[in-house]
Amino acid sequence: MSVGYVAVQWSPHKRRYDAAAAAAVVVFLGSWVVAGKLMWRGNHALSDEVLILRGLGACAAVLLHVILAIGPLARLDRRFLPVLYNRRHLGVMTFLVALTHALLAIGYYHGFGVVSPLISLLTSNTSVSSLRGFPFEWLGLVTLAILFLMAATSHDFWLKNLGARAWKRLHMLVYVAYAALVGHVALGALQTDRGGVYVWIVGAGVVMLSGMHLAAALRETPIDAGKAASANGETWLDVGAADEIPMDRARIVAARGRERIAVFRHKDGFSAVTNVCAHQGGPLGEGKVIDGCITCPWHGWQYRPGDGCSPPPFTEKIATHAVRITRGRVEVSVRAMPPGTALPPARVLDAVEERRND
Amino acid sequence: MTRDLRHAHRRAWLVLPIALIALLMVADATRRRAERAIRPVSVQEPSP
Repeated sequence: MSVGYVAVQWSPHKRRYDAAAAAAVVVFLGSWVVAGKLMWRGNHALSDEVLILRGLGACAAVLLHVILAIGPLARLDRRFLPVLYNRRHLGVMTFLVALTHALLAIGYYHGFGVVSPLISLLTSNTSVSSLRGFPFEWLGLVTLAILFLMAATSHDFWLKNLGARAWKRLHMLVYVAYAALVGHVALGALQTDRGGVYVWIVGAGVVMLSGMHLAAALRETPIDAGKAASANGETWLDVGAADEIPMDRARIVAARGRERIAVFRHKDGFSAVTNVCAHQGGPLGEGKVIDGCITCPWHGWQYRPGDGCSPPPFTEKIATHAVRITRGRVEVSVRAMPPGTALPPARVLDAVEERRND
Repeated sequence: MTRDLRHAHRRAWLVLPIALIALLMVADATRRRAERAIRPVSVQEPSP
């Protein structure tokens, strides 16, 4: 969290994650080379350089698909959350694989002339008006540049200095990178594919990813349609019956057109905070209360339910919302209090006493 | 994720697949045309 930076805060989980990802890359490349040797034989045999070069490109493309699938998968099924935790490591690995692919390609196809390989890449083919002869390498270069930008700014240092909002917007460039990658394949490898298989493989990837993202979005749509009612100058949103929220868990609600709110039940009662984590905007309401603190499911950032402050020595603060219980139903105020504002938790007992007094 | 970013994500995933599938279809049609153009044409032998 906010106290000091180290290059990578290694943990056994991160080591296992990186080892598994590196092993998967090695297995993919090994399988690609073996399959390539078996499939293209005799007059159609490919040189080892070209086989590895294509294998690295395919590996980077598969990794990018995995990265883009992790987000919706984690929203559709909580069992994918551990994969989301170190997604940035996978991003850096994708950049390194794509970089190796690019270096090999530039060296192999542009490295033997008198002109600098990079200059040759950018000037040898400029027929942008033709689809068949389009300089598809440029699109690969765009993908690589974005992957580099994302890998270089993946550390929490940049997240803190750019601000979560700007950082997230910058990292949404991954969609541009994905579009450029599809263009790179469609106007490059696909044009020399005699069987027409590539178009189906790439198309299946596009359909799969968009299907996952749209399914996750559709599932969350009802959350944003909460009905708010105004009383005494305050707008309250019905959360549900008090016993419907499990202990140390939350229910996410939102008034139409407003930011989402996570209403937690904990040992002291019911408290509400913004659903947006101060770190990367993770969904706090999908996390749980651990050691008395609301814990973000994405990277484990913690906040006290009563005031939205991170426990010392950390200094992050998030907005809180007033909660009340009326006739056994939990209601939350749509008005966000300034980050770190302490609010007393609502208790079922308080509500019972209030009714007795009435 | 904040509301505006969530909406930006949704918009991206509504536009991206349509644009990319269209690109793939055009690219594949270009490939097929090129493949047809280089396919050898059988020439009928003239009768004696």
